[in-house]
Amino acid sequence: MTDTTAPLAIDADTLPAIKPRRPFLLEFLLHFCTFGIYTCFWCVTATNDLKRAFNKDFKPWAWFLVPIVFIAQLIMLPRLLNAIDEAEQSHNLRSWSEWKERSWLLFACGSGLFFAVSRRVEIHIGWVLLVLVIWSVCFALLNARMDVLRDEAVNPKRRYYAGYAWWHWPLVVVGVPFVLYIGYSMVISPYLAKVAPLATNTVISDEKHAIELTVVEADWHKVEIGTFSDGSGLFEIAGPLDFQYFIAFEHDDDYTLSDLTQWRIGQNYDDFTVKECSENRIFSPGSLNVEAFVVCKGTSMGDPTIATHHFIRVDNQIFELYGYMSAAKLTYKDQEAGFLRQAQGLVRYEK
Amino acid sequence: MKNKLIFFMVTRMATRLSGLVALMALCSNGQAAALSNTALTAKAKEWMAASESYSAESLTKVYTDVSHTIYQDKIVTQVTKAWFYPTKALVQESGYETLNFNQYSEVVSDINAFSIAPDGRITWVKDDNIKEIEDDSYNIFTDGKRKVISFPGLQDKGISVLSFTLTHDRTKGIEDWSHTHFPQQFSPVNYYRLSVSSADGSYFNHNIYNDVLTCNRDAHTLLCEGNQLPALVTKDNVNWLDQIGQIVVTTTPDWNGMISRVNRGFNQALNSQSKVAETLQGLITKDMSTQQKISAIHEFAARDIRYVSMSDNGHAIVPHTVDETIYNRYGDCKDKTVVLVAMLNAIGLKAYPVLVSTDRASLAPVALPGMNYFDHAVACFELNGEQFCLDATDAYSDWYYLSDWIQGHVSLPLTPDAQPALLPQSEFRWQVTQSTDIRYTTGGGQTEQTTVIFKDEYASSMRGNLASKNSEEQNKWLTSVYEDVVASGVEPVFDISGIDSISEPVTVKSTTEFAPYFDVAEEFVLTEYDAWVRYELGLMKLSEAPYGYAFPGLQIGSTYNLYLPTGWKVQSAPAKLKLNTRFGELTRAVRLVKSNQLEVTTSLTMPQKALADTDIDEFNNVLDVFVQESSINFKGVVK
Repeated sequence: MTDTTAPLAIDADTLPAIKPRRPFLLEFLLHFCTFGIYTCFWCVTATNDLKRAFNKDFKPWAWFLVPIVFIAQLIMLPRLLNAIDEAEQSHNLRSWSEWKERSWLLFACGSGLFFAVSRRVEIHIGWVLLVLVIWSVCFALLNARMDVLRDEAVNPKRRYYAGYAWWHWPLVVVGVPFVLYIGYSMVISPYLAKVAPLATNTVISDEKHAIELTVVEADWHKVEIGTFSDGSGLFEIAGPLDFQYFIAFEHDDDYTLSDLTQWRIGQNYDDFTVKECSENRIFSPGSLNVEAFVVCKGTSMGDPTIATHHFIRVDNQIFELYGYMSAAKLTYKDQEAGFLRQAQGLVRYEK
Repeated sequence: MKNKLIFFMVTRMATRLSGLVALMALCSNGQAAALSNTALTAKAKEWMAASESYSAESLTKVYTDVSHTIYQDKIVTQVTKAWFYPTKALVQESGYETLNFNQYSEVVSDINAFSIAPDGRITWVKDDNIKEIEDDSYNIFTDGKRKVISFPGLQDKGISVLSFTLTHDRTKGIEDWSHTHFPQQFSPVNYYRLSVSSADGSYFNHNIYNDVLTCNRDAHTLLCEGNQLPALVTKDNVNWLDQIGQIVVTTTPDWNGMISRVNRGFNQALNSQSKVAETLQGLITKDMSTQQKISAIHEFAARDIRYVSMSDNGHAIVPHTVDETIYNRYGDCKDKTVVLVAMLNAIGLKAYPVLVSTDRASLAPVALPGMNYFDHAVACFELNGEQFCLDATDAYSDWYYLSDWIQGHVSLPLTPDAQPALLPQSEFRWQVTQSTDIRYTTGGGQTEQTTVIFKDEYASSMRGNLASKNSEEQNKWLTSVYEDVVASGVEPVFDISGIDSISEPVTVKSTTEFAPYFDVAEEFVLTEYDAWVRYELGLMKLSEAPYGYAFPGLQIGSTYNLYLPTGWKVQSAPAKLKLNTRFGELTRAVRLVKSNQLEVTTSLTMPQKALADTDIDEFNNVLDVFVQESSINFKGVVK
């Protein structure tokens, strides 16, 4: 793509409207509370404005994809900066210094790379939120630079209401608390709920000493009851991933194994997109008690997801180790075998 | 059908046991026989005086005294025994005695019998009260007769007394004398005495397999005594002859001597076999394999020679000649066996007769040589290093497996230096394969098509049940089986094959329409019972087995193809199973062929096993779990 300079329009009323000035914080919030989706729209708007007000030769619709496709960012974001530079120079405005532009590119593209990787490899939500902040700051800064430039344009400005278009407000009003809640529930709360790290081969049991579970994988934590369950769990443990946990339950002895397995399978169909479920039954070691192991696999929000249910019988009571994991594809592949190993570890408590 | 066979065998065993008990009486004698009638009646009055100490509910054997005196040329057995009858019902049921004896070599004499009433009145047995009849028991090596003595004047709370002398002529017959005594009975025994003495230095030996009598032996005499012997309690799943206390007395020094004497009779029968070649010409062709020839010979002996026992005139142990049996086209087990031996030898196999005890499956009590253990004969041979035994009295079993009713039983090959051994047992005596297609209808009903294949011993059993029935009777019988196994209230249509040929499995195909029976909702849960797995496991459950149980081995394979209507979907498939125990395993594979089609393949494998009494509870628990887990549960959704 080649940007060329076109003759400036003279009749302001006939010119297309461009985006009005917006405070840095409001701009930041839009990027942040929409998890960066707004950035796609911002790129379209920015290039559109450069085209309309400063005769830069952009195809704005194509810029929608730039925040999503990392490779495109490497090529297009420098071009965007160049176009802004040229526009600034033509209006005798002061541009960013070279190191400042390079730093901006480094942070913006670095964030883009991070997001691209996080689609394949599970990264803690805390890091994702942190990088989202960087990304949002980058584009809020660039928007501030664009605002200075837009002030030079003769084009009329769109009508905003206290800094936002009418449809931005519900996004921000709903989105900001939502992101804060996500941040709290997935970063702060689990951190606070982590009772103790669990070394491998640690044995966890319930209070009544009916069942026990040996931790076979690394980086697991015991968490407070209710962190993942409705509070009815006997114990809960969290894995190193955000959506990776086990909960032990005790079931009413009125239910048969088949009742429980079918109920859980039905529940999984409600919870995520199940592709297949299977159930295996064997005898618990050294006894004639039949135990059942149910595995349901599918996807949740596009990520591979697995739910496991290991039912064992102890003195006519059925206990369950409920497991759930949803992660980015590569991380899921890496974690699945260990998760399944852990999922089958529930046994009768041995004194 | 298996139940009926087991019932038959148990009944038969009980009959045999009572026969042996009678034989025990027959072959026993006591000092009382030497007593004068006056002394005997005086004794009886003493027993009557003590009648309040006897059971008020069951028969009591008040007195038993058996004495064998062994001479070079004869054995004299004197018996005295007395029974107390506490109720009228027991007088009605049991107010008689039976004396079994071999009419060829034994004589009963000095019969003194009477009943004594509670008031001391004595009524003597006269000749009119004794009836002599032929013993026509199936599969017994005796030329037997029995005297049935009905006690006149017998009343409730009365006592019957019998004494007699039985003289066995050792110069007649080809076998040595031996006898097994069973001191304990299904009634309490007040006093029991057994004495054996050698009058002229004649050889005898004994084996004590009991813990209720005290025995002493010196060079010429054996004396065993016991008081207040408790009654045996009737229980299911007990091979009583393997379990109850017994004392064997024999005049046979070693097995080899007995084998050679018995073999003399079999060889005598085999000497006349001019019809064998001619008969074989009609049965086999040169291009047949050895297995095909064996099959043809077995089928001829089993199905073309009917079972008729003619054991008189010296044929208690000596079979009729091969030619006679082929000519007659009938014979008993030993007659058929020599025909088999002759024909199998004629095609190059080294066949030999084998004696079988149909009521004994334990070698422990069979410690001393004796013909009296055995009541059946089969022909055995080796082929490619494997032993096969053919029972020509079984018209429904193929040659390559042994008739189920004698598998694992005590046997004695009539070959030099042979010892008693157990006949081989199939690893799985009951084998069934089931394939079922179920097509559910949108209204909640189903159409079921099932093919059940019964193999080997199970095929024999089914053949035995179906062969003699006409089509209508077969359908009626199969419907009752279907009701037991699958469901009642429906009208299955059957197609049967494999009944006429013993070399094929028996195949029963059925088609059944089920009217709507479940509510078609958005979601539904269905349970199919794995019919034959569930049924057979139910049959195998043991109510009791105080002496352990010889589990016969069970192998069932089933495949269920479940088709839901178009637009329906399986949401939750049945569980896969891998349930391993030391008694066997239940495994199941499940395949979702399409979103609305399931294939469920189940395998139940429980090999034959001798279960100790301490295993029974666990064994039953395993069966319970297998029954429970064999159900095929699945959840479907209607789109």
